[in-house]
Amino acid sequence: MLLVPFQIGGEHYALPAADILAVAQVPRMRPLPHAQAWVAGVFRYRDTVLPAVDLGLLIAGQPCRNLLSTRLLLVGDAESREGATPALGLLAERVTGTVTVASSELRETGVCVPGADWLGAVAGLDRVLLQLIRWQPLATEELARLCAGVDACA
Amino acid sequence: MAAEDRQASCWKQIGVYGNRECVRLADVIHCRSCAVYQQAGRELFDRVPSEASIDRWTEQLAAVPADDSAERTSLVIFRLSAEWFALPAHWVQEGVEAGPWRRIPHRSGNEFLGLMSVRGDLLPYFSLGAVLGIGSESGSGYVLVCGGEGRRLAFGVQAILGARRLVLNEESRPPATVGRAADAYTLRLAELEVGSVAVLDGERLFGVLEARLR
Repeated sequence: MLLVPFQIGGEHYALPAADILAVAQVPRMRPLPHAQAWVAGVFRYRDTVLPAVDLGLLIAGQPCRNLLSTRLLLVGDAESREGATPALGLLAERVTGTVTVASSELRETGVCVPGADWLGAVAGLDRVLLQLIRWQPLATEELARLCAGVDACA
Repeated sequence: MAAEDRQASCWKQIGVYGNRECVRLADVIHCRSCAVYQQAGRELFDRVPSEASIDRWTEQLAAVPADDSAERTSLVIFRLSAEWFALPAHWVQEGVEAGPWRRIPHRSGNEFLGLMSVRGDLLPYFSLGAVLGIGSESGSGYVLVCGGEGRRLAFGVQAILGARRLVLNEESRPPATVGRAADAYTLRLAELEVGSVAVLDGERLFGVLEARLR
């Protein structure tokens, strides 16, 4: 399983590469009022407006730093890869490579944190523990509605 | 970590780009394989992007890519004498430096030159220039190994430009009022930065070459 690792607050996390449609540099964001605190804002992607979730704010309460290694991961449904539009963007720090992990090495933590169902399985690499992030719970209907509101005004 | 490791751009002072005195070189051979060099490379990403680049990325992300649905053909482009030719990439297996070759008594001629050893395989070796009627080349630098499903064969070329994906449409047909052999094998003409490129009809060409061997 090919993963795209990143770091939040010094801890290692990853997204399955199959979920990522594109990795982009962070564009200018427009703030989204009334959205959850961890929503970095909205940005224009081709002919739509997409929300961006700051994984730093979501996981560690610290926004991702404004560095070249901080990237915008455009995630979406991999099933509809042909001309698919991403569902949302995720801001993450230190996105500079990929890593291959055998699916058998992924372990469910067995701990269900209420309100954090985006935390996935854990994999032990050479020196670090890597936790998978699931993007689906982050793409809430509320976020889509707020975003559609901006799209209509823009 | 030793003091010299922390030295800024140590690869230019004591590494392979400097005087090569670094003790780590004994293990890593080249600075590329050294953790210090790799770490320094990663730290290049820990810079603050300029406002101008953020503006550019915002623009790039918002841009709708042009719908380019034109069918493209992969071509391998090479030079014979002074002219550029192309073959559909599925006919070309590899481009290698010319190996030793020798003539075959009573068989070798202008077009079929002999047998060439390409990494131990003996392949029929042709002068494509002679087949196309543009004169036989002198001292080919490279050899293209070609072939479809059947037999592999080789011919010398002066230079290989590489593979390109080009749009070949009806407008790029060559004019019908030309008489050279090269033009009989030309399917299309394509414009590249090196000039006009004749796209050869692989099927027809290899049919003819195959017939030369019988």
